[in-house]
Amino acid sequence: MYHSLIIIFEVILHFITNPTIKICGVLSLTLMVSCAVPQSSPPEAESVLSQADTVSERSGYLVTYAKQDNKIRRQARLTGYLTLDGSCVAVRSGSVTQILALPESSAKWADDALELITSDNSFGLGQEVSFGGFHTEKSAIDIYIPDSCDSEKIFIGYLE
Amino acid sequence: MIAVNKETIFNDYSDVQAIGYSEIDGAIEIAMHPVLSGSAQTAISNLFTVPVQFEASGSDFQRHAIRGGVNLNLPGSSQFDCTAGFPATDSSNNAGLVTAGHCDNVYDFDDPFGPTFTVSVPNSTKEKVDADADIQFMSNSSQTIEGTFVYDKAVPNSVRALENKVSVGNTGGTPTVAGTYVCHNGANSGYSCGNVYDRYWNMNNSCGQTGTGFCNNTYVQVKGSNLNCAPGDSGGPWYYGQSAYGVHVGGFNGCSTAAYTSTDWIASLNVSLAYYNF
Repeated sequence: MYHSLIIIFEVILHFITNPTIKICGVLSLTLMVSCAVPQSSPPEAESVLSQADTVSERSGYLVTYAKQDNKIRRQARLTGYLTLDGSCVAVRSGSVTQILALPESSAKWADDALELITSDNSFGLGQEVSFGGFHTEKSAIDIYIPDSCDSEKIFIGYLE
Repeated sequence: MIAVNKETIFNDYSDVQAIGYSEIDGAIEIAMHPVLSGSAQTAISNLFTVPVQFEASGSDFQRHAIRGGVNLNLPGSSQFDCTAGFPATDSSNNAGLVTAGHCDNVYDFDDPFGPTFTVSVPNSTKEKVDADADIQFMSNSSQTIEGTFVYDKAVPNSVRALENKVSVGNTGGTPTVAGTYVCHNGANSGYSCGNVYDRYWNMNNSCGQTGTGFCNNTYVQVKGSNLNCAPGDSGGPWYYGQSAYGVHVGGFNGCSTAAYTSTDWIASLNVSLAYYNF
């Protein structure tokens, strides 16, 4: 209990001292997009690894719709390196950086470890990842996505 | 005549690249590579009651061109993201292809016979991701097109001529029926086949831009004990022999069931499949 209170206090303090934090997901529905404190420019995946101290203030969470295992899973594929794009978690593949959304309620961005944590795995910043899913227009998704996530498209994925 | 014999021919003679009928010559045309033996040509000729002409296709099917069944990579990436379905052209005869609408809008076409080049969705009218269909047209006007598709990525040079398309409904030609045997080639899972289980399938919560919307009964369901599909297969060709049936949408876990968008919906993009010119 004592530990929990400390965490709550730290979270409140974090919000007070970081006015740029945005709550980015809400909605009745649910898409999970990872949000973090916007940085000045989206770093490359590899360079982020050597700048851990500068991104350690990133915070946020993932929000999603309920997992629907009974539906057909679209089978586009996104393979690349886990990176941060403004205030969103993204995957960089070739010259493209795509915002990543995971329809899995347990997925979250662990800011202290710089990891994307899902129900079964964790993926570090810069790690190669591969998701099944589909590309769609960011504007077609009923969810607030910060302008700093500059991709026009979003990839709604699931783990292969 | 071709429909009756082509499965036997393709199975028994892997060097047969394509089978067509020339209305000009009034003869069956067999494209082969490498050249079949005399006895093989005689055996094939005996299957038909009309003259059969053999043509050495040679490098024709290894030409640097837009065709179906090829990996589509995000620009600058060596990793496949989707699969090209079939070659197609728009009303201005620009070279292109059809693939799944839920794929991205710009790709490197990973041509196995030449350097990669870019294909892109030219405008929003060439993309349809809704309750009826999941399909889009991508083009590159500076490229050549060949009416062929890669039918099995595991087999080198497994390029096959595209001869026609098969409708789900009774809109001309032989329609798809329940039980129709169909195959697909995907960038990830490769080649596998199954049977049409429901040609007017009602998928639940799987359509539209969000992938959770209502679906009309316009998608085709395929089942099969040897069926395989995986991420990266989207947009790939569903076919049988030289006939186009649809482009891959997705599947249940383990691919016990797969779904495709019928080639009937290609016309809604105001584009046409590009057939091989025999």
